[in-house]
Amino acid sequence: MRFIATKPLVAALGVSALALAGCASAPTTTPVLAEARTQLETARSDANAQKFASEDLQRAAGLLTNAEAAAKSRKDAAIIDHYAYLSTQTSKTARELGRARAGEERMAAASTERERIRLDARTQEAAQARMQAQQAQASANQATAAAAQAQADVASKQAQLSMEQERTADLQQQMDELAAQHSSRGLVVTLGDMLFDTGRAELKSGAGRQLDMIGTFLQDHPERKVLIEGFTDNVGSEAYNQELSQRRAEAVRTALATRGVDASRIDVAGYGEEYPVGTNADAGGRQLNRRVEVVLSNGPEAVKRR
Amino acid sequence: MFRNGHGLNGRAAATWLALACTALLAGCASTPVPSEQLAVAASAIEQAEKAGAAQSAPTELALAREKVARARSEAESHSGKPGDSQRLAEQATADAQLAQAKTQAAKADKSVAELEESLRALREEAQRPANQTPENSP
Repeated sequence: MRFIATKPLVAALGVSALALAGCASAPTTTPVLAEARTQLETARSDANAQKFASEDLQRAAGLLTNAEAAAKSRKDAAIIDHYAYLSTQTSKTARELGRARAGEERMAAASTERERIRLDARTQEAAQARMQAQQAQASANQATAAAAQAQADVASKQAQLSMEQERTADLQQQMDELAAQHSSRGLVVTLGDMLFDTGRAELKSGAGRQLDMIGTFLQDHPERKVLIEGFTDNVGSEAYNQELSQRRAEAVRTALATRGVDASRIDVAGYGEEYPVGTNADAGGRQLNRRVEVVLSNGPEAVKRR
Repeated sequence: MFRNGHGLNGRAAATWLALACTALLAGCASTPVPSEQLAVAASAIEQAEKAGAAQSAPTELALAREKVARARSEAESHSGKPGDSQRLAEQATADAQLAQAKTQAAKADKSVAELEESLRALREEAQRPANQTPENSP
């Protein structure tokens, strides 16, 4: 190392040095350095690493700076790669630690979450129970109402029943009093011939009581209709007898009308000698045949004629 | 370094001798085992092993062990470039630290997965009575 230098030589050397320095200042890179940059970038954009491993991130950044500086000053590739490698591993470590610590934090928060879930469940159970209680109350109320309704129904049915029983009893009594007979056409009340004088159609006063009862019956049963049928024995002409039976039936109609029975409910028919109930061969049988039958309908339908 | 020399003289010779010695010492310094770095690396490896890195991060752990072994052998046999041993020890430390972090992360992942499963089961259980009752009610 001996320098017996002239000034131009020194100048030349200086220029060369500058040229070399110029070359050295051009950034050099290696695959390991490129990898270190990528790794640091990745680690920096990792939220967990940022939050939980900031020291490691800083260390990785410092090591990358060292690597970049080594590259810039054109140091040995071994030096550049050494720092780059350390930076890469530290960046990776930062990410792993971030993940580990985030997990630990999650674990720490778990007991709170567990409690919250239990509380939610209990709240839900309580709400459920409350709802069920309300439902039960509602159905109990409904049941009570239904029971009350049923009781009322029973009471009203009983009342109806006793009323019907009463009416049946009344009807029975009235029928007994009228000496009425059941038939397919209705109740039949027979008015005997002693109510009329021979050959006449005027009712005698003795008929009053029976007609009163029929009038009352028809007023008690306003739905029922009535057919009044007149009959005679076979003494005299047929035409005469028919006409007489007709007039006698009409006399009964008039009597009922005066007892308040609407004329529209009353129908009359005169059958004369037809439909005898006894023999016309003797006086007793002929007396049975001379009659007026009052047929009271069972329902609202009019009684059919014979 | 550059000076306009006037040839060798006594003072210059002394200076050169000192420089040579320094160079020699520096050469010697690179050869001995970089005990501090190696101790740090060994400790990092031990911690990683204790954490369970043999299972969770076998690659990194093996890398760290291999580098420590290489650092020792290079230092002892004076092979390799000056500073190689120290760099290997430093890299082994970084590898071991990564191994340990990976192990911790794997453990945390597993614990979190178990936790999520248990929370899921708990949620399901918590919702079950609510889902069942309507079926029982008329």
